[in-house]
Amino acid sequence: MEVQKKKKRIANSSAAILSIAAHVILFLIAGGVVALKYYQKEGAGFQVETQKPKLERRKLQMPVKAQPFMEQMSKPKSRSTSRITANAPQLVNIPEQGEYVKMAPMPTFKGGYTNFVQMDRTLEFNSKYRDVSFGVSSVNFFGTRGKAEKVVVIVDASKSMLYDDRGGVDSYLKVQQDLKDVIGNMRSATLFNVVLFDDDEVALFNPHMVPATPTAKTNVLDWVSSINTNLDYVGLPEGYANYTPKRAYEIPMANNDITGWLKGFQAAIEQKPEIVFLLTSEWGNVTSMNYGISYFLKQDKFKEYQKKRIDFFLQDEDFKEEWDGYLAEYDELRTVAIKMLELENQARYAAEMQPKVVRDWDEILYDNKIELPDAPLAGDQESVGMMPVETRYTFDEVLQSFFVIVMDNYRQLGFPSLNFVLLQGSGSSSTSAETAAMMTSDAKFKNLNNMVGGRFRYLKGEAKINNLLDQTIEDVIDAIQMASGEEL
Amino acid sequence: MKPLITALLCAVALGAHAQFNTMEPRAFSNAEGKTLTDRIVKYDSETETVTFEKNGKIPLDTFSEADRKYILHWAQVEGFRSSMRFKLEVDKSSWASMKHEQNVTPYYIDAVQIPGKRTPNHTIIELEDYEEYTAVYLEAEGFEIKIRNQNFFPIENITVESKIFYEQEQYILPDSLFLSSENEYTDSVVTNRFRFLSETIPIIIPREEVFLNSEAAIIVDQQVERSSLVSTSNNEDDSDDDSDDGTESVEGFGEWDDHGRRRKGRVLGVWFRVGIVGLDGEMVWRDIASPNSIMDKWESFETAGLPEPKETEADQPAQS
Repeated sequence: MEVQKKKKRIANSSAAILSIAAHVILFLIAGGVVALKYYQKEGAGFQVETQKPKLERRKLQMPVKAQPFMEQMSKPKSRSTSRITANAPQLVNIPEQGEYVKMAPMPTFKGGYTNFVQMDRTLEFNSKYRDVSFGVSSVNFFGTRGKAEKVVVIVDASKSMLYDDRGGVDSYLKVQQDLKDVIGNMRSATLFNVVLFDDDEVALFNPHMVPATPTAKTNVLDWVSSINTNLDYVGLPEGYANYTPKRAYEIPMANNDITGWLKGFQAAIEQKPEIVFLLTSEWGNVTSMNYGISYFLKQDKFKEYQKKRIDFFLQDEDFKEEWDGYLAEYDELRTVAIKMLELENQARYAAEMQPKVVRDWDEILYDNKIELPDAPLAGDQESVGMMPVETRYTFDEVLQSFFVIVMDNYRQLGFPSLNFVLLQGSGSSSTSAETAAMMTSDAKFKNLNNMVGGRFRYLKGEAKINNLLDQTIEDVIDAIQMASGEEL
Repeated sequence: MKPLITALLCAVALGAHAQFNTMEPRAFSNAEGKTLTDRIVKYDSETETVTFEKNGKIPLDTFSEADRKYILHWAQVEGFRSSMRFKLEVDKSSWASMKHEQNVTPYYIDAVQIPGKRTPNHTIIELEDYEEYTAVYLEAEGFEIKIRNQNFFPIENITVESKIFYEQEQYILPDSLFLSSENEYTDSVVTNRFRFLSETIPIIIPREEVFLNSEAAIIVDQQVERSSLVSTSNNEDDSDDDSDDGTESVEGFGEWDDHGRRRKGRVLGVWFRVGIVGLDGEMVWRDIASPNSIMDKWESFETAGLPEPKETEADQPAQS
């Protein structure tokens, strides 16, 4: 009996719940009748909407069969030359605006999306209506090759391109000639820009990428050809530098420490090209003449360290006298070096040669087998109060800065195609102990290149220029004394 | 049971009624100056008719210009508020990565600025009997928000803001060989970070999908392993007395094996908010996060990531 009763109750309560549920549903339907009607209508409307010719026309306007170029760019790059030079239009540009708004008929966008660069938009917009491969140019810059519609070439314009052991001005003329060929061969619909850098100064040919029209080509070649052809005036001419960063980057490197190729690269990346060609001669803003090591200096920390270092040595009374001796010797050698350079250049002018470009005043001393005395090393480095390692950026820190600079600009678009060309002295070798320790420019660039799947080439400079004069300290001191006697 | 059901039904009924009753009735006027005071229930963009709570359907073009603007604005706000008609979806993705690993010869460089010189002079000591493994893995992660307008009319002037949250370990000590044995490189600290981005979309037309992205969170995984000793030869090194002495421990360097260290990071999530200007001139926001728990950590989007989160537990103060 009890079981039956229970069953009955269960049956009753189920019916009640069902009934309540049905009422709730009915009530909801009644309560939200307007909204539901609205959606039902819209649902039907959707079917019709998809057939609208307006949307169909949009399809015709977009080169939909082509893959978005940024997707291409983020893929690992092939290093096979044959693939790179293949004629199939692989790096086809669907402009970024098309990526960004997938369903919009283009002419409705009169306002500006904030992540578009205003001037670029017109060009991107126009590019939708042209032939798919019309603006794609094949570029071969010192053996690094690629095809793209937006190209930026970054060239080192610093005096480091002009050293004697790198072939002097002739090597730079080779660079200019190659740059002329690269730009000359671009299709007029290709967007391009040229970036020159010299230490912390960066010059852009144009604030934004421009189509490679005959006028633009002539202008850029005029712009470049006046640089570093007369070695009495090396580096970027005054008034050329025109770059200021578009944004602040959260990176391990301080803004004022981003110099050289990295600053030029930052300027290029902010224009979002598909392909970047970089020609430089050194990795960091400090390159040791003797060892070839190259790194980015933390300039403020370095000043602090030098002060602490001297203070540490000067704690010892006896050292003060020794240090004064060092200073006097440096001073004397400096005078000698400057005179040596003057005499060497006089000889070069007489031989109708360009003057010698030096890394620092002591270079000509080393050329003549005279060495500067080594500054003392601290026996107990911790007593100095600062480690020398704190004065320079590690390779990892530079990598992180590089990565952030790219990704802050490209974000979901991934990496552009990158190509590195390193100018190398004709006699230099890349198998030194410093290379094994990853200290040199080529070791660092090769590693960076491997990481980004780029292409890396050496540009072998012209033959080393030898000094015309063999000089000794005694000869030069005599010459200085003679000159001062003449002045008196 | 019955009281519960009654309460439930009442709540549903109130809720259903409330959606039409959130706003006070408003006075609308037509071109001839006649007015009516009512609440809008619906606007049909196809027929261009407005449905009022009491007055029923009225064509849009009968109203004054100001009222027409108001009605269209009202429709946009309602259309924007609807999670069915204005859809938001968030996805996470890895945008790019870069990896470098290598065994290198450890070295020590001292740099001295000689007066009058432009570049410093260097003294280098290479520990040729030793080898260190260094690895760095950089990854850029970010989130994409898909915004789809399923209304029959466009939604205009949309603001999309995002905050991507991530944490990253940092070293306190620089990676110097010359740090004493007291520093065993167990010194990394976790820093919470977020990156904010604000963008505006002028218009999203019917059926259009717009994809926007958060800023990139750059995650660094860096490792130095100094346990791989190449040899323990007892050759005399003539470079300097600070270099290796031919044993496993190097004077002034501490225990070689203790020099290993690693720092990592991870993405915690994203908080997107999408907004348009409401009828009262204030922004109407819709929030979406991944994971959803991100929104529980802070009082509001504005304060998210800033110091003093609601749950302080193990969270470090975040960096603005």
